[in-house]
Amino acid sequence: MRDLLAAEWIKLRTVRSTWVLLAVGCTLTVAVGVLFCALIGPEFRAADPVRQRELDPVGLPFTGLQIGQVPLVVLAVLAVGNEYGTGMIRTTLAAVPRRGRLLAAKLALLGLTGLGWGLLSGAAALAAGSGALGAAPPAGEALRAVGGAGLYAALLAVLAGAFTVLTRRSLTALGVLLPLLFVVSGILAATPRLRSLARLLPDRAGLRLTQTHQDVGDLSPLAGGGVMLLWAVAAIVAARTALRRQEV
Amino acid sequence: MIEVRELVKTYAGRRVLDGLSFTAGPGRVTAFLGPNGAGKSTTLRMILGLGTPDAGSARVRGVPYAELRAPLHTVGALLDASACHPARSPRAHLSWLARTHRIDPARVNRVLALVGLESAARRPVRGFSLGMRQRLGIAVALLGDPEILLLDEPMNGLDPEGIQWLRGLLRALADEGRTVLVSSHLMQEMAVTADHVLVIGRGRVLADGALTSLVSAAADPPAVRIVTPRLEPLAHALREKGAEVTYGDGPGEATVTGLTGAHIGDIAARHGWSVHELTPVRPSLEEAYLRLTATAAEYRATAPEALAAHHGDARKETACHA
Repeated sequence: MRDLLAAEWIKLRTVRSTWVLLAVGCTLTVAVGVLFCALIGPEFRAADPVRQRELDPVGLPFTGLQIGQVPLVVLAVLAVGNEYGTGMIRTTLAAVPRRGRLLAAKLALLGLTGLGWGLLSGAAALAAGSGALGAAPPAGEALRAVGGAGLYAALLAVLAGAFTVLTRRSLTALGVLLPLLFVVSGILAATPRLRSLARLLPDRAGLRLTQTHQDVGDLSPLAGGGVMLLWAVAAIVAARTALRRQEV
Repeated sequence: MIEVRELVKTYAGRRVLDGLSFTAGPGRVTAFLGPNGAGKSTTLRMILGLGTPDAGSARVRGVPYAELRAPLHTVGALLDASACHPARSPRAHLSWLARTHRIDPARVNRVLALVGLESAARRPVRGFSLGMRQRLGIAVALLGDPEILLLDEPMNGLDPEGIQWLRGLLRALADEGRTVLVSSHLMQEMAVTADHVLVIGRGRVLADGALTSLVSAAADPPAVRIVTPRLEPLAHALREKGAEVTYGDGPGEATVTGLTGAHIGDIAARHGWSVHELTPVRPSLEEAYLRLTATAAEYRATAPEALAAHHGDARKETACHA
């Protein structure tokens, strides 16, 4: 299994777009987070402690994650979709006929990549955002939020990679995932009656991991993370079943 | 050793493989021939466990491919030369493959040198010609030093020097006792490279035998080509002896069946007629192949007026990547 992970790592790191996407995602996450914090900064500094808590000084710097996650999703989709697109999947499966192990290695590596990216981007966004906001969050909450960002990014990458095994095409996968994550979830969340549904979508639920403030009706961070985990597990199970039967 | 037994595979209602059986043995180059759509690529994919046959089995070294624990050491395959991420370099492509089998990185360098890609080893495959991609595909096949090689159209896109090199390589691999199965449409090339010929059409075996016996079987009855300034009287004399004479395109040119070259020469000498050329006609592998597949060609060019009425799903199931 270590050899397969190492092989998948070579595949991922030897394509330049990997690094470009990770860097763009990180930059977006930090920049948008800082922007939000800078805009809210004056109001935040003038507010009393109760109002300050409501503004969620730990969650605010992570606002950029909603846009910064797009390149990560693209990366995970391409990592799987390019195998099918180029026909390399035949070489891969000829070298590793045990398809379950191959899928496990590929998704585990995407998860690890997501985790590393999420921790790094989360920490950078929190540090820069807190500076712009003018408030240092309590160390415990900060750690939890950064860890949450890593966990969320890991599960998101696994979900996107597993889903692409089902579609076998990068464009199809992106055509479903991006609207689901960025359009549908926004519309549902803006519609009062459907809010309870929106909170169960992967991004809404998963991003709870980075937030400490809880409105009425919000999932707790733990519950949100659990919902996101369920999404990822469902995608893994479906991908495993599909890959076993696929003819390439 | 590759054993294919009664393979059946249907795609979208079309029987691509229809009870295909053959054995490709060690120590020889087996040419795997057949018209487009005959099922060659499908057969190779079934051998590699990339598709599941409806019936029948394919075994390598006595076991199904999927049961091999280190398959690259047993079977090396080239299915599609373009099957590499365009942004990846040959070295990177071979490196990840090597890692799956804990193959020494030095081996990557050796196969890169063997296929002549050393100087391009670190360049993205994006800018490669088809010939360079073929060389990379051959390097992939050779990486695990396998005892069985499956090569689908490896000569496509190679320059004359490359084809000559590949011919020598295939011979050398077979002489080392390996099993080499090569599909190709280049008949002249296969005629000088292969020892054994396997011809399939419409998913069935049309011929399976030694190259020499297949070719000589096509020369039945044996024919002799003659060129003589006295064609008319000679043809008459030959026909009297029971020969069949067909006039050729050039002046004084004809093909004779039913008599040996010696007979023809003796008859001409008896009459004092000079003969400028007297050659036994050796059928080529190409002719033998065309004769075998005449009725089995799946996708044949049709006359223009027939085009309108002919709607085939003439899509080859592999090699169709956007």
